Amino acid sequence: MQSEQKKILVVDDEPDILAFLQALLEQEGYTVATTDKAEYVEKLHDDDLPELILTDVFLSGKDGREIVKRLKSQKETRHIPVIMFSAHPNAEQTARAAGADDFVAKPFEMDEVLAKIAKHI
Amino acid sequence: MATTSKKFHTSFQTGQSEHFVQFCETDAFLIDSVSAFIGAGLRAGDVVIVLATKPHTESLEERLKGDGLEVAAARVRGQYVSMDAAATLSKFMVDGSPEPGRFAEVVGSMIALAAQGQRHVRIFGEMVALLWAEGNRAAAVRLEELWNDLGKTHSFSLCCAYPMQGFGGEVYKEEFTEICQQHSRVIPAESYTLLSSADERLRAITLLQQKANSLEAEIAERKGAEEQLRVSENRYRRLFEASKDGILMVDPRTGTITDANPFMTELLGYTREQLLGQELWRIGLFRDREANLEALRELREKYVLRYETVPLHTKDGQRRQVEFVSTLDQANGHSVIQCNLRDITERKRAEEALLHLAAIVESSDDAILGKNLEGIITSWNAAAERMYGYSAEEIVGQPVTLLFAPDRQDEFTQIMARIRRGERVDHYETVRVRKDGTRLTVSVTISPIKDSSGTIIGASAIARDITERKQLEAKFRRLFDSNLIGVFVADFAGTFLDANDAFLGVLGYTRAELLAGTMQRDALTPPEFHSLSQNAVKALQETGASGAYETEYLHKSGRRIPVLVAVTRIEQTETCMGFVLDISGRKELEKRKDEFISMASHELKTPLTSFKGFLGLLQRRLTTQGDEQALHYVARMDAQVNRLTKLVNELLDLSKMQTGQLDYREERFEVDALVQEIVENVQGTTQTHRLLLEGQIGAEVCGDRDRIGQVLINLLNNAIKYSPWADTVLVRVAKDQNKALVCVQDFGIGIAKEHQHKIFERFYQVTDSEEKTYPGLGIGLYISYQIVKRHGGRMWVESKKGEGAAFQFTLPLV
Repeated sequence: MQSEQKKILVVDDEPDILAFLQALLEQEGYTVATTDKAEYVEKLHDDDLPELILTDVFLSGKDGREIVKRLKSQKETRHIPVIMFSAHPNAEQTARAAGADDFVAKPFEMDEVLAKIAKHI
Repeated sequence: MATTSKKFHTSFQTGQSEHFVQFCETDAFLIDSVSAFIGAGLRAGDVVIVLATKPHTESLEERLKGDGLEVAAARVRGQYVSMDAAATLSKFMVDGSPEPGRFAEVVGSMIALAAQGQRHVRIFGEMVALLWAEGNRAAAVRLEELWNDLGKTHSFSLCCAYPMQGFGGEVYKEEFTEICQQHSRVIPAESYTLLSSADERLRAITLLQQKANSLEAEIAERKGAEEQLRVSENRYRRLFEASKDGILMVDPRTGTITDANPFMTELLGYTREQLLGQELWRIGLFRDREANLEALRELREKYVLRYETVPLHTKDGQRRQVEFVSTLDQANGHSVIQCNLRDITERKRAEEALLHLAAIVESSDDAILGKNLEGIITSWNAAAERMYGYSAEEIVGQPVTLLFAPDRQDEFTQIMARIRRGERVDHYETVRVRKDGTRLTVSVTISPIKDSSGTIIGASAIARDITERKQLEAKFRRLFDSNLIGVFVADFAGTFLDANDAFLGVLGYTRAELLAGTMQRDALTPPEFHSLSQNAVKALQETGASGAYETEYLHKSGRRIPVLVAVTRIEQTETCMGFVLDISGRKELEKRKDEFISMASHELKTPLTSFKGFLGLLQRRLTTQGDEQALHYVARMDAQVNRLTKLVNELLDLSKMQTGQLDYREERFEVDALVQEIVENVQGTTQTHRLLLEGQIGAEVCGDRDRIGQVLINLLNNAIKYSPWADTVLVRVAKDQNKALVCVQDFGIGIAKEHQHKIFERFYQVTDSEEKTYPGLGIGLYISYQIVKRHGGRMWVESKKGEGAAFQFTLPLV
């Protein structure tokens, strides 16, 4: 259990994925916020910033990489680690190019995701 | 002899001045006759003077002594005087003629001295005979005259002796008569003189008359013959001088040239003088002296020699060919060799040229025949025999219309009319008929044949069988007109010269625009494809064909049209023919398929991700609850999800590989580390097999580390999958020259020879009853093979059915 209750934002347009990730991460002691709307990320407030963002590359109506680019271009959000995941294995390169700190291919092993979160948070 | 001598005594009535001549046939008779004359003089007390040659003088004195006369005593008494005829003669001869003054002085004083005391003088003289024998007949006659003149002032009896053979010949007839006239008495030679009875003498005279007649006849005959000989000789000489054969006369004994005609000197380049006295081999005729002598020896044996061709080297170094005929003639004990040389160099050259031409005609692949103006075939080559089926024996002498199709018989008249006008008929396409009745299409060229005076005497026809070409043309025309595929003809510079409607349809141009020459390849191709067009033209020039390649054309509207093009060179031209397939539809479909697979894989993986995620949560809860049985079930489910994930990934790779969109990273990495990492990972997924790793190479390769890892994972999984009863898989890393070699060896079911190449093909699966139990898509090895190939490496398998398999691949080292 995490003592400091680190906050993780998970973005995906698939509710089931959000559901099991929330359950998993809360079991691991993180505070979890989930959203299927890219706009949510754009409206983050300074007092509400997560410690890490986990986001899909392809979101309905929005490209996750554009969101990362924006986060990484803003002073307030630049420091937040972003881990992207995708069902397209080849998306890794473009994700990293856009500014993602790490990448996980879908479907993933839970241990793999937890290890990468622990590494960046 | 004494008896015969007495018979002459009556002949010499002495005492009177006289000048008689004694003809004789032999020396013995002369001595008989003269000794009688001289002996009678000595006995009668006359003074005797002998002016004779030394041998005659000696013989005469011997005889006189034999007759009992004291010659020596008579000489002492001055009754016998002998002087050398030649010596005496020289005393009065001036410039080849007896000088009258000196003669009178020398001979006259001698006679005057001898006649002292009124003694009669007898003289035997041979000076005239000497002159006669020398051939100075004028001097001889002149001397006789001088003797006669001397007889007018002096009294003496003179006996002149002439050898009868000195007068053998018609030419002497007049001179003989004159000599006889110079003498007061003529005594015939012994064949007459020896006859004693009158009857015998009459008979002899008759016989002589008869002989004289026949001699005259013979002389006349000979004269005629001589005249003829002279005419013949002249004729021969003219022939010799004017002949266009070289003629040499050769002495058979020495083998040297005695005469050469003007043409011979011209042929050899030597002057006549240079040739005379030379042996034949020295003037360029025979190989060497031995060959020359051998020819002479053969000629003496056979009398005639004939060589068809003899090489001749002329003085100025030319090599010529001559026909050599040599004859040995013998006439009147003389023999002479005549050699005739005919220069046949030009003839030989013409013959060779003719043979050469004949060989060309005979070996031609085109049928060549000759015919006269009536259309009768006069010559027929081997190709004609092959093409039409008639042998030369069958067809020569037959009308050429035999070869004409029944419905084309009127062609003959038209063709021959043009030939008579001296025109040529070029590449005339028509139908002919073979001996077996089948038809063939031919292209014929017919040319007039002229004789040396330029008169047209016939025609030659050269025919090529174009049946096959015509059929091909017709077939191609059908392809062209089918418009199933675009077909064009273009030059290497890129101007479209001809095209079918399908091609024009692809690009949106009209035939009129094509024919106007406005369609240029470069203008119709987007700039980024120009280099592709240039490569195709290069391949065309080098190999004759470009191979199929994908490019794009610009439609008249500006739209891009993806096309598949193959271009092939039209033989012996700077043009090519292209086949164009519009692949817009295929390209569109490919794009859609690609999008579909991409979307499908995404859509498939999303539920898999959730599935796997919830399984993970379940696994955590069951672990807490300690339900081992349920945990085992969850682990099985997770393995199946992983398998499903792998299949989806392979399908995606395959799709991308097909369209060339599979991305590869380029980075250097260590082979040893990668192999060890993969072996450890795969070992972690299996409990049934031990993976043994052998060897290290300490070298790097360049490429996509993950893709190479994927290859090795695939090979290891296959090794495990196909060796269910074995417990070991061997992985070996080695260096092979400048390549890294990785080998995965299993001890399983193996692969039969006939499958070994095909297993790297897409969707290929070994299917026989035993292997039905091994499921899969049949794309894993295809993908691995393509990845290795893409890295510049090679992949293959060594295996025997039932004895396991060794899959190996190489990668070029950095």
